[in-house]
Amino acid sequence: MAGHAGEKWNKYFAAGLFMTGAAVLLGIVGFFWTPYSTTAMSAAERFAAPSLRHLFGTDNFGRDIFSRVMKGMGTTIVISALVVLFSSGIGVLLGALTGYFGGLLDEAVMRVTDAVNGFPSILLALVMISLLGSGRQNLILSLGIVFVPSYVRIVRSEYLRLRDADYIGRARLMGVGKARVLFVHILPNVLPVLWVSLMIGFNNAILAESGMSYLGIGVLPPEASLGNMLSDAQGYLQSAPWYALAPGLSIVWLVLGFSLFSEGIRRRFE
Amino acid sequence: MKYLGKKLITLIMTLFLVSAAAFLAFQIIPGDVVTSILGTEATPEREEQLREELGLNDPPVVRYFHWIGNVLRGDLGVSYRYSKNMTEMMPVAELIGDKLPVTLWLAALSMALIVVISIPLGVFWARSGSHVPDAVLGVATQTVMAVPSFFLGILVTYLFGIVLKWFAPGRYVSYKADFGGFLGYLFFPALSIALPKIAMTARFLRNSMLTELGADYVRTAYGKGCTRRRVMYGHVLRNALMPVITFLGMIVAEIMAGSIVIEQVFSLPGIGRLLISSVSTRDFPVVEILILYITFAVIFVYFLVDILYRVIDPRISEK
Amino acid sequence: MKKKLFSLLMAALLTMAVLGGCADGTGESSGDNSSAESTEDMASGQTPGADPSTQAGESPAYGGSAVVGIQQDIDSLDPHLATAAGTKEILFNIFEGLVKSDENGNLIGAVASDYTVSEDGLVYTFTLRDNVKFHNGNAVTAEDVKYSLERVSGLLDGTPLISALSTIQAVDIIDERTVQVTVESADAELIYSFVAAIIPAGSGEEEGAVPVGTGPFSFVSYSPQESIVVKKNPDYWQEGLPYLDEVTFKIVNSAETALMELQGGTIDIYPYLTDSQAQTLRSGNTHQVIASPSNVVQALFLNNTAEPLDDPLVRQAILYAIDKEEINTFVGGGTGSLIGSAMLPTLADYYVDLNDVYGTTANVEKAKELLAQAGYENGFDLSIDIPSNYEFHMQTGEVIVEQLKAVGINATVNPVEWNTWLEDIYNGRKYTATISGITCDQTPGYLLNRFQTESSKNFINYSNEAFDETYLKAHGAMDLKEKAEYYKQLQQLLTDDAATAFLQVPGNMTAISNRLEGYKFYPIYVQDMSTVYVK
Repeated sequence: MAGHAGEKWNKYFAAGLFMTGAAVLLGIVGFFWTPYSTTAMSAAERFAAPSLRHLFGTDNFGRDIFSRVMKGMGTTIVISALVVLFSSGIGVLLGALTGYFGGLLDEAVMRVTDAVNGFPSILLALVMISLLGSGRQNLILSLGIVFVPSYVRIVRSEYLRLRDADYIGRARLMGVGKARVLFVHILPNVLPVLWVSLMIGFNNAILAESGMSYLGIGVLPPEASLGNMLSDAQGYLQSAPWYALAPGLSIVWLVLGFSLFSEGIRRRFE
Repeated sequence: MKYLGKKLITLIMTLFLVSAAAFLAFQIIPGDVVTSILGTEATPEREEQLREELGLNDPPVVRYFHWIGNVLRGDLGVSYRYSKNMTEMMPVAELIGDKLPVTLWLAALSMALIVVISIPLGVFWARSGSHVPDAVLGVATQTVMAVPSFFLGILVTYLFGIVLKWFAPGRYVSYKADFGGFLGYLFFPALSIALPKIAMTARFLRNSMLTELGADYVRTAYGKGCTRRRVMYGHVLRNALMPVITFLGMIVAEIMAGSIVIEQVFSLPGIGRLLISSVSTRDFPVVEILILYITFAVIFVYFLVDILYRVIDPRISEK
Repeated sequence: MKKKLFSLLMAALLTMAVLGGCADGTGESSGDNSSAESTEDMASGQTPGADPSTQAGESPAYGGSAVVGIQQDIDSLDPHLATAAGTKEILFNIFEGLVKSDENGNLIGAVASDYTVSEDGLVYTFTLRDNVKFHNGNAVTAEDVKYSLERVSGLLDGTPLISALSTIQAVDIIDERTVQVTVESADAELIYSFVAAIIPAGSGEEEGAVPVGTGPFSFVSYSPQESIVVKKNPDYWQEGLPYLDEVTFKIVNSAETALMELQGGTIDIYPYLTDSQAQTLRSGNTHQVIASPSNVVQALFLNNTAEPLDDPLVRQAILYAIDKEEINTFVGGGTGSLIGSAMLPTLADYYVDLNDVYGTTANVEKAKELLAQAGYENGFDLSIDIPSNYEFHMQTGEVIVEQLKAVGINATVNPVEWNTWLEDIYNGRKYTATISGITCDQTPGYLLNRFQTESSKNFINYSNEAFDETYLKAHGAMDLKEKAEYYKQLQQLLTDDAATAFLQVPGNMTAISNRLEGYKFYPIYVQDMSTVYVK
């Protein structure tokens, strides 16, 4: 089998770190500096093929695609990170409370989670967006809400398992407060499992964000996002295929890099 | 029997809750249905008349119970947007009935591709102890899984449609006109849906099989003198398939609920696209029924998976 | 050689389209002259089947079918209830009014063979054409006309369906072939509203299992979100028309797939190509791609009562800052016609070219100077709300944001859903600036009456007494020359006040498969399939 268990620098980890690192770096740099302006238009340079001057070519407004991919990558990463933060935060809280205390709250939360979980995430986000209205905050909010149940389930089952563990019982006997038991004693032991689902959640968030932007209900133009660039580019697939390839491959790069990275981490801990 | 009854009650409760939540939620959505239907050139009298016709002057709760009552009697209502002819609006049942076959056939075709390819692939992968196929499959599946479905759709369109010209992109043939042509066109969207799922399922099956191969009973079976083939297919695969079935169930539910994105890329008139357009045009009667359908489809598939489980492994029902 | 022929043909057709545009104004005049009580057979000038392409040497063949790509689903099959331009363009083939428009923007007789208008402009007398049959085989009677007009005007049930015709006071049957319509107030442009469809008496409520009209094609089937199919009406009153046996209007939801469908051959005609698609298609040599002026006035609408746009200096600064030529290049591929006021250049008699007032390219210095004068040396923030389903407007917004940046105005595009746009911006007037288009269905007055202070359509909150007074004079004028003069003054007033930043009349780029011939361009938004034939 490739990659021995417990290997510190396995191939997955190295490749993942490189790919993710490069993408994140490009995205961060993109917020401060891009080779060309991401909005400046040039009639003379419409649909230029990739060259040394324009690494990924130019689009229908003569804008540099590489610069826009940088900016879009940053936007996608930041939105996805915020979505993960939001959904895991609420997920952990709800999971901890329901798993530890059980009872009516548990029953209610689980019913709702079951209903939400069955729904395909993009569909649910679509309905949420039409309720909240479009825009960056609402996109984060709706995707965040959509992803909450996935964390609740995992965290809840971990708390269910751990609440009867010996060391928790002893802590309780010693008079440790409930909040402290929940978040200081149990939470650290949930982290390894949570870590894996955060990784998966991040990738799902990237796919959901770009999917929604592709459908025109996520990040909207003129703001650059990998999804909406792809949707614009689809019309020029024949005359300017590079326009679609650049943002599309960037998403693949980002998602692949991150899943290799998380696979690498998993193997390190195995 | 008792189990079935309990499931049924949960199903009805969930449907009721979801429908009420959706119905009330759409009351607060901005945008007036009447302006949206009539545009800017209609007379105020006509607007008021339509508002009355659609029952928009009643309070939301009254309208909800009126609506759900009709649904229970089998009357799904009529669309706000689509007219059937000069005087009648399109019944929602007819509208959805028209789109549903597209989505269901797409789901069936994708599912067939997934099962036919991923299971042999997973078995092959689990059996290939050697490094090369294992590593190649590992990287290949990881990569395919990282491609978002809409980009995959675009790539399939570009490669098979524009470069190789194996199919005419956008040349959707209605199932009513030419069923063979319909399935032929559906093959490429189904492929775009299936590819990442094949990668996932194959990985899943392979891991599941490797776990099973390490189990005690395998050694016992070998010890009893069972052939490798018999151990592999009689015991290991059978047990390893259990979690895979749940996984496949989730996929079916997802595709049946409408693969919005793929329907968009290939301009397929399925229910996913109907949902998007109905939401944006505020065609609530259609949206409501679609949400009910999706909830029902998802729960129903999970229910079937549950039953299947019991058939394959009778131990579960004894618990 | 082939290529040469092709481009020659294209040039010829282009000329036709342009001529069509120019002839428009004169067409209007003949229509208005008839109000001076003279009777003329409007159909006499119309030689059926004599479309430009027939003169190319080939005689049109009968039979075959064609598929037309359309952009959105239709909103109603009832011609009186349909309000979307995208629906009317299809229904044009199924229904006809007493009069209908031809490709030059003139009115020709349809169900009526001719009409007269009383001197005071209050009584219209229509003579019905003989041998006009509904698709159900019944002859059109005066009863049917009376029913149709009473239905649209609200005389039937108190609900007017077409606001312009709510002025109708009475519809009287004089004899079997003559119908007299009395209206409340004189309006020289009212005759254009008599394109409203004639349907069988009583069909609105009971009969209509299938839409029945008198047009060149009859309704076959409709599947929502997919297509609407029509077939040849063998009894059509224009002899020799139509040529095709069947026409399918296929909904192409996204512009992206339209190109592929054209190339795949699943649609033959598509009237809304984007610039890049046009380029791709031209290189393929399988389609004719023809640009023709549309009937949409595109503008960056400025709310005259919202800060800081309530200051005329600021509005002028914006007008100076905008580079219309650049917008036309980027968004329309250079096919649009630049405008300085609210009138279509194709309505030549009424149009006055005001492009020079603020220039068609950016004047950054002047704009900055005006901003400083208004007290905005450092610019200001401006949110431009744009209906997100209109890619053309969205892209225009992207270009304008860049242009305003150059003069220090920090503009942002705020995409809004179409419903929200209608409710909050068009009806609610809660906005500062928005990009949209006004579609002119024929009468020039339609483009200008919305700027009267009290107009319910005056969503830019423009208010100028001189404008209101002049408009009333224009409305009352029965003489066409006088009317045109007033209309020109109105355009000048809008420009002087920098009421709104009028941008362009975008071009329509239509792709037509090489296997088809005879497609006619209209200055209004219709897809006339009756003259199209298979080569």
